[in-house]
Amino acid sequence: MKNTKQSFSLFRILIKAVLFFVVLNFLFILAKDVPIGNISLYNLVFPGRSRLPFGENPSLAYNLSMYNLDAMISSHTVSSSEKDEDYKVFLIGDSSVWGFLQKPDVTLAGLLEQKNQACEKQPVKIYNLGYPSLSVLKDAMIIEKVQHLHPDLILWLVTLESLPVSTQLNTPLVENNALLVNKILSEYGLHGLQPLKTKIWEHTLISRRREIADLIRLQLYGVLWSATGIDQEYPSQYTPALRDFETDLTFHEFEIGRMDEDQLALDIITQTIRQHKETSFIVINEPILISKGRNSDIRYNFYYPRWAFDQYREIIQAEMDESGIKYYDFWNLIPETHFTNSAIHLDVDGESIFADKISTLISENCQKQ
Amino acid sequence: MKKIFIFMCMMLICMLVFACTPNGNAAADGTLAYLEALAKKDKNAVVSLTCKAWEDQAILEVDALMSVGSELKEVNCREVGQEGDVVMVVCSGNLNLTYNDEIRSIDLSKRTYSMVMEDGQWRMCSYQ
Amino acid sequence: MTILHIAVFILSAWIIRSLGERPAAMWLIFAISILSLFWLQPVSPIRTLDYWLPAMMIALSILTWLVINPKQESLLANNQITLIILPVIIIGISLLRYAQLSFLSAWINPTKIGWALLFVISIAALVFLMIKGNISQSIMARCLIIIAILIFIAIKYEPLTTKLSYALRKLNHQSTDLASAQEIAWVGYSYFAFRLIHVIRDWQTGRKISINLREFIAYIFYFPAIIAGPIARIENFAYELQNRANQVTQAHTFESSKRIMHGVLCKFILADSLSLMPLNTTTVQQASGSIWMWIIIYAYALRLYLDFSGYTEIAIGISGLLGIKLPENFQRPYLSENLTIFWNRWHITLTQWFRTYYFNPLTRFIRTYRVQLPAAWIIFLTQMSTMLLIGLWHGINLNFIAWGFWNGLGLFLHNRWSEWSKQHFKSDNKNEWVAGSVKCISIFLTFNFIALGWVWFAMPTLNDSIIAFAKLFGF
Repeated sequence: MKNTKQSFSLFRILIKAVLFFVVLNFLFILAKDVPIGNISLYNLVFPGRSRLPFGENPSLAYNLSMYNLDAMISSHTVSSSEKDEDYKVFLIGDSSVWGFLQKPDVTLAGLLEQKNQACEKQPVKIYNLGYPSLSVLKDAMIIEKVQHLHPDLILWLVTLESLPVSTQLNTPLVENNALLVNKILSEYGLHGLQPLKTKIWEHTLISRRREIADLIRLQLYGVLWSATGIDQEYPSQYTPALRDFETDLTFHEFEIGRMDEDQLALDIITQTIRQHKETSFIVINEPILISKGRNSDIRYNFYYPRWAFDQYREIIQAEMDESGIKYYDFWNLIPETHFTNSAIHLDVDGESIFADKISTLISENCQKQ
Repeated sequence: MKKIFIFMCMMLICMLVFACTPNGNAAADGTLAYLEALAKKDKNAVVSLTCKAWEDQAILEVDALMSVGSELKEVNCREVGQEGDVVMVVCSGNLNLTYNDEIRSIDLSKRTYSMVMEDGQWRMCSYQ
Repeated sequence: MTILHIAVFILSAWIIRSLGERPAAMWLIFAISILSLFWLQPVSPIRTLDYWLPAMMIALSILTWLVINPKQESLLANNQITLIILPVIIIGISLLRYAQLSFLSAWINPTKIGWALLFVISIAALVFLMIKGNISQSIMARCLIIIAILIFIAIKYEPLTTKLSYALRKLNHQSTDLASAQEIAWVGYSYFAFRLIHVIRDWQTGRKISINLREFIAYIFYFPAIIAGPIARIENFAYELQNRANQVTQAHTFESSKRIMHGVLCKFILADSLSLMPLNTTTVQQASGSIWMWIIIYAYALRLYLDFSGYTEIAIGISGLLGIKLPENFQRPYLSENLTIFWNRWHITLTQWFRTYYFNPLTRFIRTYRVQLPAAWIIFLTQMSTMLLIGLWHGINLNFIAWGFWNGLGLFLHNRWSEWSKQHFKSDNKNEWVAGSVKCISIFLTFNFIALGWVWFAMPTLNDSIIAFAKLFGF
């Protein structure tokens, strides 16, 4: 009898605990707009990171890939720049800007920073906000999130591979930020893309457990970031970018020989810039590897058949001119010997050549907001 | 005591019958188990699920995935033929590798897996 | 042990407890312990090794049980059910090989039925010979201890383990190029060997215990404590087993549940979070500045404690749900004021084991030896050799020897300091502030000594350890 009473009492406690957890789980939905990612030990206990967190092998990179943009930006040194009087230049782009296989001080941003430029006596401060993901929608999301930091100039590095409409929503960072994506699509008037479907239970505590765990892990990795300055795995060897190709003229689902500009998300670039009138923008077509290998007469590199890239260049030039956006095309600036494991990743020498060019642009375009 | 002994014998006989009942899709199931272990980067499980001749290759396959994210998407496998002791298996679905935050999908239907019966289990022995 | 294992063990504990004092409860403890042995053993790249390792442990346990029980005809009769079930399980698992379960190879590679039958028949023959034949129990006891130690050396001494891996691969017609020491991961062997040696040594020294095979197996392979202890004494365990019904109260259940939750928090949240700041060759080389090195060392020290104590709490909690009290293994060791107290609070059951079966007998031997050594020498020899052995238990390489030496030296120096300070300082200082400060400083110094000792423990080579020390002190 006593055992039965005890069992029943325990059972009741268990039921209450489960019910309490269920309620808490669903109450968490109310916090869906709360920027929990803004709670960060970076720029407080740990120095801010030089680039946005990304790491596919966290145990070696002391870094991890995550999807909470607030947390990513809070961990970046740029978050401590809100009140600075420097001339702030943000670099936006893909893995080439982020600096695959490059230490923070020899990325494009790092080399530009070493030039110690000044803009009307204001020191120029360069912030690397690139992220290894080929999608201009991803870039627009980052730009939207950093506007409160009042950048003076945004250098937006793009390439054709980041523009197909069909791939804009595929990248994990975009997929996992549905609320922000839908806000951008709505406010910027981008009707070419379908808003992401969100379900209410995606905001429960259980659904967001991975996000919360990543937030905590990011803070913990701050120790090794501070202790070592390492935020990326640097393999001793890498597979060089392809220079020989098959006879392949295809580019995504585009009709061969015809670059349909409606299938390029150029409106994301133009609308983003229009939305942020208070900031100066320069759009740059980043350098690509121009191969001399097998079938290089029909393909520039792994990403681009020649016909597609050539037509893209004409289209983007026309679009930028029509929109009155400052645009520079550096597609063939860097010799192919300075590319590393990808048709867009540069080595230090290639990055130096590119940095010299960009620093000239910054000087030329230096102006007060 | 006698009852326990008879019960134990019956248990053993049941297990024998169970063990000897052929599983029609065993080779395909073995391929799926291999792919699941590969996606999880479980080196020991991957090696255990491959034949002895393919062991070092299997380790290379797992090592190649160490620096990337990997995930199976909607994978189903079926046997498509037999050449001697080797059963050919084809799978539908994708092995998604996340590298550089890009998802590179490997279409598994383009591969034919060769499964061999080794040490009582169907094990992956190569693919083309 | 993963969360899944813990969840299954908790569920099993509830089922067993709900059976109360029925015989089925005891059988369930026995069966789950045996099956857990196979379940917890990770799949090995060496074919069928993950089957044979647990099978060998079962065989060694049966032989040990025969050693510690008096030879009598009724022994078999009184334990025949257990003696039938054990081979059924061993053969049954082997039969899974023929079931063509696709997922099986990711868990276990059972051997051919022929080999399993041969194994069972061999063990049965040995059992028969031990009971009916002339095999001396005392010779068997010595053989079992030697076998246990030899296996231990084989799996802990890397060059030997690599050779073993090579030999097993060759036997299995697998590529020997891939042989490595890491392939032979014998889960739970250390604690198994401790329990085995404990019961044999107690028997040899005249401490008899009457225990049937089912309970003996349950003790050796007790599922909550199989991987990481604690190392219970067999007579205490047997008593707890018999009286578990009295411990199944609401208060005990709450306490046990709290222990489990606390253990899960310590191990899977705190310790696993601290594992993101590892102490290894790479981080030592990469760390800039001694402050960060100290932080990494402290994080490692904390992680070791939380990891180990977490596992122990889970084991004690699950066992508590069953009504079986296991001994405590940690008592706030990092708040110890000196090394002697620390080693009485850290991995308590292990130090008690070494104290009982090595330290005390060695001390007695040296004291009664015809050549009389000074007291200080006796203390040095016994403490140092004990710590060296504990170091070697973790692994047979220079770093673990260095760690053992570090702690042995520390214990000895503390012992000498204690003796000296008793003679030269008044111990009845009534000033609370002074006493409190001394206590804090003592705790701080002890913790740092232990934390620095973990450098030897964590680094793979002496050179790496020296680099770590150099960085810690700004060189």
